[in-house]
Amino acid sequence: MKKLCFFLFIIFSLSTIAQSKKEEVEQRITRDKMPLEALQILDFFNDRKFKKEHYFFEKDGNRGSYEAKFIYNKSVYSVEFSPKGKLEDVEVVIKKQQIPQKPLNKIESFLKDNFDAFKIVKVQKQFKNGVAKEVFEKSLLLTNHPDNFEIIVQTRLKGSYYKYEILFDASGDYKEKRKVVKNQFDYLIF
Amino acid sequence: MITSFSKFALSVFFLFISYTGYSQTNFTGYINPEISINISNESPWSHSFGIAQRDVVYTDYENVNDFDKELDFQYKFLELNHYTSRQIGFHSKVSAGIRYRFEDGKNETRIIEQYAYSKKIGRIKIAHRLRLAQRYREITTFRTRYRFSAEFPLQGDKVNPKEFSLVASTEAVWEMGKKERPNLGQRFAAQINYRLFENTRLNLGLEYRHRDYTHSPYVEVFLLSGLKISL
Repeated sequence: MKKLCFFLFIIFSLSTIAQSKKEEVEQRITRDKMPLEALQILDFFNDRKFKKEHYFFEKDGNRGSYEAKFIYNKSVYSVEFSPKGKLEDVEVVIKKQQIPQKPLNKIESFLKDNFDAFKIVKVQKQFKNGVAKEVFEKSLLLTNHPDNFEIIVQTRLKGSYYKYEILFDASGDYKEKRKVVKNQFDYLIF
Repeated sequence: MITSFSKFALSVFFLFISYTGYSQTNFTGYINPEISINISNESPWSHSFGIAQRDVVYTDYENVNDFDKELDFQYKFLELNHYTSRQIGFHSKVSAGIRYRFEDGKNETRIIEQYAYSKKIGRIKIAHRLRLAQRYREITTFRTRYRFSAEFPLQGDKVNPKEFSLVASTEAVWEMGKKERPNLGQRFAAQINYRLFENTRLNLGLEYRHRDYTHSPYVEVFLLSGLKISL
């Protein structure tokens, strides 16, 4: 019994580690494979003429979701839906300089306080609080105010290198972070 | 789903293959299978171990020693290599390596120092590599080489398991030694990579080496194949 408990503890710990790491695998799918409810939300904004619209099934650990990616107002959008088609969030890629000064200062001081060195790789505005259609509509406005900023950052701490996805709220306060599996390059170098 | 860019990249690859099929003078064809294991974690240190074999499968030189014309085959060497690397920035690492070649009667030890800069730009992975090597055999040769390589996913924005990518590279090589005239060479390679599992990649491709092009040029073409495991 003790052995079984120990085994279950190890398995549980490993699955917890797996969940806290971002390891997304995206698979391109056709429009007809998307959940119906998700397509209804997207079609509601048909008049906006999204460019290069593509659909994906995404696996992140044990979690599966559907994603629509497109370009609107020269920005890259990714709209994530649950397997049942419920809107989970809308993310818009922006440049670091597009974060308003106050939250940007807070984000940078958080990074300076917690790491020896850092480099912001990607910034996304995230919209998720509220009714699906309103959230989506808000994200499409040029003067939109996001619910969160999601950043991908490369860091160095005590000589070790890590990559994180960190979530800050609209005013730049830290919410949560998780490690991102780093890109492998050795097979390209050697 | 293969994009129009991927179709273009594949066309360039096959054009390259057909070009190398032309009959040449001073031409030698090799096969060069290799297996390598790269070990890395979140510490700045990483290690790479590899084994490779090279054989001649075609030559248009006359009276080449040991080349069995009936079999079209000649064992060249078996090679073992090891590199220890240290990350020195978000994108760069320095490495020191040793390579030992078992070649009939003339084994070679090679000491290697290397700087590499690699990053992902959009969907394309790129890597710059500057390498210094000292080849200790019957004669001692010093080599300086620079390689630029890029990997293009052929399905989607990144190379997931069970997906293909195209890796293209070019490398300039400058060789010199006390007993040999300095010479320059240029290499071009195109390989199809298949990511079999999360940490396992298979590759197959061709490398075209235009060697000593300032004095007495000759051409070598390699059929490269490899199994690369990242732990």
